[in-house]
Amino acid sequence: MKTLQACIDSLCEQAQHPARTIQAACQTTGKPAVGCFPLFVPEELVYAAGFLPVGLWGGVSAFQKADQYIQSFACSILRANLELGMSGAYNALKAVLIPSQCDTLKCVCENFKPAVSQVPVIGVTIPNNRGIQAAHQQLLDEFDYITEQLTALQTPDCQPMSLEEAFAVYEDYRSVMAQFRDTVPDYLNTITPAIRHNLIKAAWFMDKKDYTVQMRELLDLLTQQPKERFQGTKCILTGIMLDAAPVLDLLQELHIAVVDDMLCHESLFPRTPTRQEGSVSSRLAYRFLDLKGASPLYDPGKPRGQMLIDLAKARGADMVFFTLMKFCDPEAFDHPFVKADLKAAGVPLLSVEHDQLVESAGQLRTRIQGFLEINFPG
Amino acid sequence: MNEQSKRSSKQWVNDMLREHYRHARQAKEDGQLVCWSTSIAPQELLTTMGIITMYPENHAAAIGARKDTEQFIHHTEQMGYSSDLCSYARVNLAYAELQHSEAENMPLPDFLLCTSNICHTVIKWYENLAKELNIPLILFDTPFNHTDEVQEHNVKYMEGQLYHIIDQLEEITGKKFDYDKLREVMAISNETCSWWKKATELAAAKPSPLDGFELFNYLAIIVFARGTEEARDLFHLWHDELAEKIRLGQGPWKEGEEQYRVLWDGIACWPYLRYTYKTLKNLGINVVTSTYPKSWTVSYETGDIAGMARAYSANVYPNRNLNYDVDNMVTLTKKFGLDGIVFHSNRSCKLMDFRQYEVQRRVMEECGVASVMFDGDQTDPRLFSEAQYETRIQALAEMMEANQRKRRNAQ
Repeated sequence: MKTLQACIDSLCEQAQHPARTIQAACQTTGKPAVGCFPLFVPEELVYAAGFLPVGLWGGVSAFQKADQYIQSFACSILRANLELGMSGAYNALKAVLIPSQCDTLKCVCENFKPAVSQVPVIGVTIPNNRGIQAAHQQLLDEFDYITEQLTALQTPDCQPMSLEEAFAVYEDYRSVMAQFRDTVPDYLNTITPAIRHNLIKAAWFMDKKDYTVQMRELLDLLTQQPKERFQGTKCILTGIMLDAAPVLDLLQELHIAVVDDMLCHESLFPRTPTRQEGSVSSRLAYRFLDLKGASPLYDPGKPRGQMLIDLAKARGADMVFFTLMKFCDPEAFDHPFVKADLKAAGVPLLSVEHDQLVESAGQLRTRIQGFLEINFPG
Repeated sequence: MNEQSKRSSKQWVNDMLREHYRHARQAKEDGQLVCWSTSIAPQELLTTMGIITMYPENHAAAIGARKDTEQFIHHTEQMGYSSDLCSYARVNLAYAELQHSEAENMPLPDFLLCTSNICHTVIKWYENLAKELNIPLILFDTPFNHTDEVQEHNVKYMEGQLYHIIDQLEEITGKKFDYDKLREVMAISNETCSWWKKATELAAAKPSPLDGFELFNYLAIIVFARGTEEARDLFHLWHDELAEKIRLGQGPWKEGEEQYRVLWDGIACWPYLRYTYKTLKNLGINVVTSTYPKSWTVSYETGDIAGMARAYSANVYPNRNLNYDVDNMVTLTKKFGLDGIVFHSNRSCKLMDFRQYEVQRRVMEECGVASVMFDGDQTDPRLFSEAQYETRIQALAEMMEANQRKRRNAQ
C-alpha cells in the first residue's frame, strides 16, 4: 500500500519528465504514441484507434530552429512545439493532431508538415458555429475523417477498441478529475499550487486508464486525512495554461492556494458535462459543442467572466488569477470583458502576461504582494 | 449612363466611396437596418434583403490612409486591449465608442455578420463588438483548409450555416427571404468578380497599364459593392481603360518607366501608403499584382448555395494551406513576369505572416525571383520604420537589377 506522499510524488515526477513518462507508458501498454496539440482535440478517437494520446504543450523557451518558420511575435507554446519537433523530440510519435483553433495554430499546422516531415500531421477542424445542427453533423463527419487518418497509420502494436470502450475510459478519467476538483479545496496545505498543477498535468503523458487508477488511489488516501484549515488567499486560475514552476512556487510562498481552475491545459475541457443521450459519437461531439469559457472558441455573449464569478463563489475563492499568454489573440480579446465582469462582481483580478515558461518570478513577487496588500489589507 | 461615361473609373471610385458612407448615414437616420460585416462575407444574402452593409476593415484602412488612427489605437489601449492585437480591430472597437473620424463616418450597426475565412481574429473581434453594442452577431464559420481541397463535410457545414443565416436575417428584418432575388444578386456578383479578375489580370501586360497601388483604391469597391450593377459596370470600365492603355503601349506612370515588376504580399501600410509607394516608384518598381485580388473572385454557379459556401472557403488564400499559398504565388510570379516579391510582415495579421518564411523559400527556389521582407503594420503607425523599409526596397532593386543583368548577359 502506497502512502499519500508516495502517490503525490509519483504523479508529480511523471508530470515533470514528459519524455520519460511517455516512453514508460508506451512500454507498459505496448501502444505507440500520437501527439495532441493544444487546445482541444478528440483524444478518445486516438485511444480507440489503439494509440496512446499524449499532450504537446511546449516545454522549451529558447528558439532557434522554429525561427526559420515563424516570426517571434507568436505564442510561445506553439513555437516550442515546432522547435521540439524540429529537434527530433517528437520522432517517436506516429502522428500529431493539430486543431485550427486560432490563427497561429493554422500556420503551425502548415509549417509542421515541411519542418517535421518525419511525423505525419492530422489537421483537426472543430466548428465555431457550435449552436446549430450543421455543426453537430460536421463533427460526426470530422470524427470519421480523423479515424480514417489514424487507421491508415496503425501499426501491429496498436490496440484498437470500440469508441464506446475508449469513451468509457475517458468518462472514468473525467469522473475522477471532478472528484479531484471537489476534494482539493479541503486540502490546500497538502495540495499546493505546484502539486495541483503537476497532478493534473501528468495525465497528458500517461494512459488515461492507468492515470485514473493512480489518481483514484491518491484521492482515497487524501480523503482519509482530516480536512485542512488553510490560512491564506484562495484563487481560481484562468487562461491557456500556467506551467511555470517559479510562479506556482511564488503563489505558495505568498500563501495563495489554487482552489480550482478554468485553464485550457487543466480543467476547462474535462469539466464540461457529458450529455447522457445519443450515440457515443454524438456525445463526444457535444463535449466540444457544449464547451464554454474557452477564449479560442466562438462563445456568444462572452460568458467567461460570469463563469469565473460563479466558480469563485462555489469554491469560496477570494480572487481570480488571469494568466495571460503572450501573443495569444483570443485571450487578449477576452481579457477586458473578464476584467469588467469581475470588477462589477467585486472579485479581485490579478492579470499577468507571460510566456509559457518563466525563468524567474522575481518581478512578479512585488506585483503580487502589492495586489494582496491592496485587495486583502490586514 | 451618359454622365457615367464621362467619368474615369478613378473618379467613379471616389464618388462611390463618398456615396457609400453618405447613403449609409442617411439610411440609418431613416430607420433602416445597418449591418457591419467582415470583408469577404456572403454579401449576396444581405444585398438580397436590402440591408445597408458597412465594412469595418475598409473603414479602418480609410482611417489609416488619412493618418487618423492614433486616437483610436490610444483609446482601445485605454479600454484594456493589448497593442499586440490586429490594428483594424483596435481601430474599429474604439470607433464603436468614439464614433467620429476625420476620414469617414459610418453609422453604428444593428447587427453583425462575421465570416471567418480571412482569419480567426475576426470571430473574437465581432464577438466583442456584439457584446459591447448588445446586438445580434451572425457567424459564418469557414473551416481552415489544411487539406489541398475543401473537404466535403465542411462544405455541408457551411451550406447549413448559409440557410441558418437566411433564417436569422428573416428574424432580424421580419421579412421573407426572396430566393429569386438571390439568384439575381448572385448573377451580378459573379459578373462583378469576373470584370474585377479580368481588369486586375491586365496588369500582366508589359509594361503594366496599372499603377499597382491604384489596386488598393479599387479594392475598397469590390469589398462593399460586389453584388451591385454599379460595381460591375465600374470594373468593366476600369478593364476597358486598362485595355486601351495597353493598346497605346502606355505604362503605369506618365513620367518614368516601369523597370521592375513586383508582387506585394499582404495588406498595405495605410498610414504610410504614399511613402511606401514613392519609395518603390523612385526606383522604377511597379506593384503589378498582390496576393489580395483573387480573394474577391468569389465565383459559383448562380443559385448554387453549396457552391457559394465552397467559394467563400476556397477563394480566400489565408483560409488555404501552404501548398496553395506557394502554388498561388508561383502562378502569379510566372503570369505577371515578376522580378521580385515584397513580403509585408504585418504585425496585425498572424495568419498571413506565419507562413511567409516557407512561402518565400519555396517560391524563390522554384522561380528564382528576388524578394525582401519588411516589418510593418496595416494601420498602427508605430510599427513601421521608414529607414528599414527603404533599405530593404533598395536591396530588392539591387537584386532585381543583378538578375536582369544576368538574363541580358545570357542572351
